[in-house]
Amino acid sequence: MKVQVTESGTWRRTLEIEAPAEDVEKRLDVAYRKYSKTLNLPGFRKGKVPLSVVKKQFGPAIRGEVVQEMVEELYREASEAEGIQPVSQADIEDIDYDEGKPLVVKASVDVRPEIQAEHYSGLEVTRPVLPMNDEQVDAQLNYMREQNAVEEIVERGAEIDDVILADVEELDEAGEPVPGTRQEDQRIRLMKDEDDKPTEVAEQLDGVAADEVRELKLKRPVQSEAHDHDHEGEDQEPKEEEVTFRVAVKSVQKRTLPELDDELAKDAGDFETLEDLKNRIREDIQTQSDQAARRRVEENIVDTLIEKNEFEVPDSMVETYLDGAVESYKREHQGHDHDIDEDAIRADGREHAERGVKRYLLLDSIGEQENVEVTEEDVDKHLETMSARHNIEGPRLREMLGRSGQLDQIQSDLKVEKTFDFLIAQAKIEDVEEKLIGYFSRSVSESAKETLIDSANCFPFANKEIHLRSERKKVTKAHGFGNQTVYCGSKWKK
Amino acid sequence: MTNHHAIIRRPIITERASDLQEKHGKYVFEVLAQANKIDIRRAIESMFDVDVVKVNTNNMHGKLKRLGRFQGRRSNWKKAVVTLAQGHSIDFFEG
Repeated sequence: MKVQVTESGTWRRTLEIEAPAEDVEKRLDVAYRKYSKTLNLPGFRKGKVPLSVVKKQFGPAIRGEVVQEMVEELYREASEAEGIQPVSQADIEDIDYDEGKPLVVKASVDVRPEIQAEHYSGLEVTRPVLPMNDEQVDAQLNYMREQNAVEEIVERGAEIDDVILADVEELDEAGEPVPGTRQEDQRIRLMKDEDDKPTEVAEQLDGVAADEVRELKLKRPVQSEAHDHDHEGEDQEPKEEEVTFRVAVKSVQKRTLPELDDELAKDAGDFETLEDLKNRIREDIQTQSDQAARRRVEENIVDTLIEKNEFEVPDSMVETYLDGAVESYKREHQGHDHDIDEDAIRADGREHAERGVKRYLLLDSIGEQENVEVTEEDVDKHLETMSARHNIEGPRLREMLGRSGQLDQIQSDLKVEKTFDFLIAQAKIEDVEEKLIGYFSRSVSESAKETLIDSANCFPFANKEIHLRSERKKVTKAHGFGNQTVYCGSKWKK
Repeated sequence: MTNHHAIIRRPIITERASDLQEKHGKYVFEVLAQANKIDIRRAIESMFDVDVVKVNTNNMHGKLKRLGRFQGRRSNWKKAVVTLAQGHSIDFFEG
């Protein structure tokens, strides 16, 4: 076997492999014999078909099969012999074989970039500090009160904070009910908006009593047919239409929030006093913000590393990354009836994917250079916390993870974590105070992000988080990767 | 008898036939039952562009076949074993 390797791109190699004619003949002969033994041909007893007949009748098909088999083998052997670490499927560009001549294969493949991460000690990064205040605790407590509210039917007109039980249907222009829009026993809560004014619904339903029927005029955005992702964020003012609803009230219910006292704490769980509950909430918020800060430091480190280590990544690695992203997006949106625009996801996610690949390669290289290793104890410790959290016995958990191959995943996650431990220990970290503005339940498309960033007067962060300074912005349509959190740091003010 | 393709119905490819072919250069065909040895020789020579040394023929009796209680008989047919001149051959799978 003769192999010739040429560089056809930074991380792409083209292999030209030549296998001598005799080798191919030998393989062919074996294949013909195998077929003659198993062929079931009319006029011949099983296994008695002469080679010449096999060759004549099935020659081309068998040859194709053997050559294909050999190509795969040759490629494997050649890449092993040449020490090539492929990160993509090989592209077989050319197969050349005629009887009695050598078999020549030309294959291209992306190789794993050999990078040597540099300048990774003493990185200067910022750590977002989310100072905790009682507002957050109060918000959580209020949420809990809302959850535990008691509702009772009252014989009076509805007021703000009341809940109305009603049958609702849409009316057309002639005042006739639109078929299929009737919804029975709907709970409608009369609320105030952020400016402390009653919402449109609340205003129009003010004072409504049981057994009363009232018509409601509401604006709703016109649903456009086109799902064009490019125009998100551009249409700042979506078209609206006015719709009339008929609300037949069945009952008015008054909501009473539980008092903020020790009783509430006892109801909420294993707490003696309200102070205990508050402490617990504080602890939880602290843990969350600590975790968030750690993640952000990690990502800041990655961004700095990427800045300091410039290199190209092979397309195929990015594509593989995107494949995973598309897969997980599909999984997340299983059963939803909207179409999945794979191309849009890929286009939006490309930059993110590139960063992901770089992150992986850099961390791997640093881990290698610094001999970061994951010991059995590390894994055991991690499994212990996991088994406590999921309430599964240790040995069973280990078996479950081992079977699904997640144990390897945990090992590599732990390695990344340890690498970060090392990097953080070495880094010069500056704390920056930040304010949490809010969360997006889903991440946001590129164009929507730009709008957000613009309006918030903040710089985008390289890892695609959005740093908003103020104002809550509505994002109408969104797709992308995972959850994203919106922060604002003074550091990124324009 | 000028339609050669009507005379030569199909080659017979069986263990025995391929043995004859490989060892003795003899080719076996199913032929029109009415065709004589001369017709067969001419048809083979012109269809495959070969020299024929000898033609042997057998009249084959159709087999008795039974499907449940019904009994039938396959048609009788004629088999021809054609011996080609030295150095001549026919490739069945190419035509």
